[in-house]
Amino acid sequence: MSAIPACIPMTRLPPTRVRIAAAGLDLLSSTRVKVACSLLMAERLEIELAEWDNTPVAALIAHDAQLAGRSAIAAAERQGLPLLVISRQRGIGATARLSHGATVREIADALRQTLQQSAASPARTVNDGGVRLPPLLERLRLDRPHRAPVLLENGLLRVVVDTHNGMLHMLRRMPLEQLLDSAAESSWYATELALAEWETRYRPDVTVSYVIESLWWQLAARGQCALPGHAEGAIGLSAWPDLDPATADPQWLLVLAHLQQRTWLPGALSTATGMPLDAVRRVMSVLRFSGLSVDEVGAARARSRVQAPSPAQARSFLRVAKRFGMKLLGMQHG
Amino acid sequence: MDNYSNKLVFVGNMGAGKSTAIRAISDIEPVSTDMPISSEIEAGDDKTLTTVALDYSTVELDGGELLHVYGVPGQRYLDFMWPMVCEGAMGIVVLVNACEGVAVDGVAELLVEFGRLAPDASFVVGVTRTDLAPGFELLRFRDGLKARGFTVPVLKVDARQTLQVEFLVKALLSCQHAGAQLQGAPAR
Repeated sequence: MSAIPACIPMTRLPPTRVRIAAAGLDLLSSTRVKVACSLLMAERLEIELAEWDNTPVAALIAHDAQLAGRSAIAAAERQGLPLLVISRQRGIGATARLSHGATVREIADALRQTLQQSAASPARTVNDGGVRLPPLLERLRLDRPHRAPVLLENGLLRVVVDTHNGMLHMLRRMPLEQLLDSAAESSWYATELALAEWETRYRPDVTVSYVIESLWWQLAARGQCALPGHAEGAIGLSAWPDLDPATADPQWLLVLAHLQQRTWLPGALSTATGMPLDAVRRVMSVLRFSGLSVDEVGAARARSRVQAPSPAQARSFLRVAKRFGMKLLGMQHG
Repeated sequence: MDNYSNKLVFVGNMGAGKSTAIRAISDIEPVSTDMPISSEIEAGDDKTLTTVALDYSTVELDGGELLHVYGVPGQRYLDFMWPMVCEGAMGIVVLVNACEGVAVDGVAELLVEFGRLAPDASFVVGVTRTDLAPGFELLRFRDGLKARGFTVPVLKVDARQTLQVEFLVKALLSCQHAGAQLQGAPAR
């Protein structure tokens, strides 16, 4: 028996059986998806269509007009699951999208492409940091390349996140407290916006805008972005954050002051400051997410460099620190 | 025994909140050289007195030791006082009033000058009255200082609130501690 030469392209795929979940599909879309799956049988791609219930599937196809679809999309995005979205809204970005009313052929082509891409990039399930944040927090990250404005919705809260300009815009008059309280919820639904759509359709509705960098530290003060284990690499501080003295933990100051001088690994910094490792990692995570971390700290720092203190000065300094409620390690106590 | 290097210095222009901040953390009523504000000078609020020379106060530490707290005007024509109060200071707090149209260059000049006078000191910049200056952008101000080479804590502060002024002092002490510790740390 002769082997098939490697240079001859295969015209037929080997039989493949996959399970795909569907969520939020209206009758028209549901019917067309089923017919599209039948079409793909001719290409030896056997698709079992199941309801979205979080059991393992190869991909999700969902319509974003209904809450069930939006929730499933948000969950799939968190899990890094291959995703095909049917939407009445025009979208941009990495997620595969079909317009509402897409033909059977268009659905079949998109499904095939989604499954092929999924097979080609199995690492999509884990992001580069090894940790995936809840949808709103993920979109607020300033340590990633800037993306197009994103509309995020969660119940009555509607915001547009513009990481390029570092701003979060509220589209309804809602208290900031409510946004901060719900920031870590998984029920946020994201829709990427074309720039023109943002400018003409959403910007006129902006009620108030917030600086994303400052929001990160307000979230940190509420324990909303506690991600121990994320910040493992050595980082330093590029600029001091806008800390609110009324809510920020004064212990952060010692961590930030050390990171200002040079890069630290979390373990070494925990030892140097006497702060619990989880707390140090949390500050370092927020520093990273808020775009204030650097991998190297330049040699020319401000005038916070000091001479080595004499023992008498060190004792006095510790007394001053104690008077202001600070417990410091690393210097001889008097 | 008292250690006269136990000094904190607050510096800033008229209306920056030096006297108020010092009063907020002091154990005693500060000694101030207040004078009525000239009618030709726009104070911007109900302020009727201003410190023309310096403020002085103390904070008592364990063992009866004292932390000496000074407030000095940031205006150049009063700079003859700066070397006297800065000698041996462990920290300098630069206060600026957000309502006054904060000039980055002016603050950078103060940092340079006081850094020269107190080379062992750590620095922090406190911005007062930000609640009355909606157009003030702290991050832009901070980035302006950074662009001029100053990566120092820049924090909003209500000079009337003890906890907030103490937060500023803690930031300064944290910088001092981190810098002091680094001098003895082995190279990595």
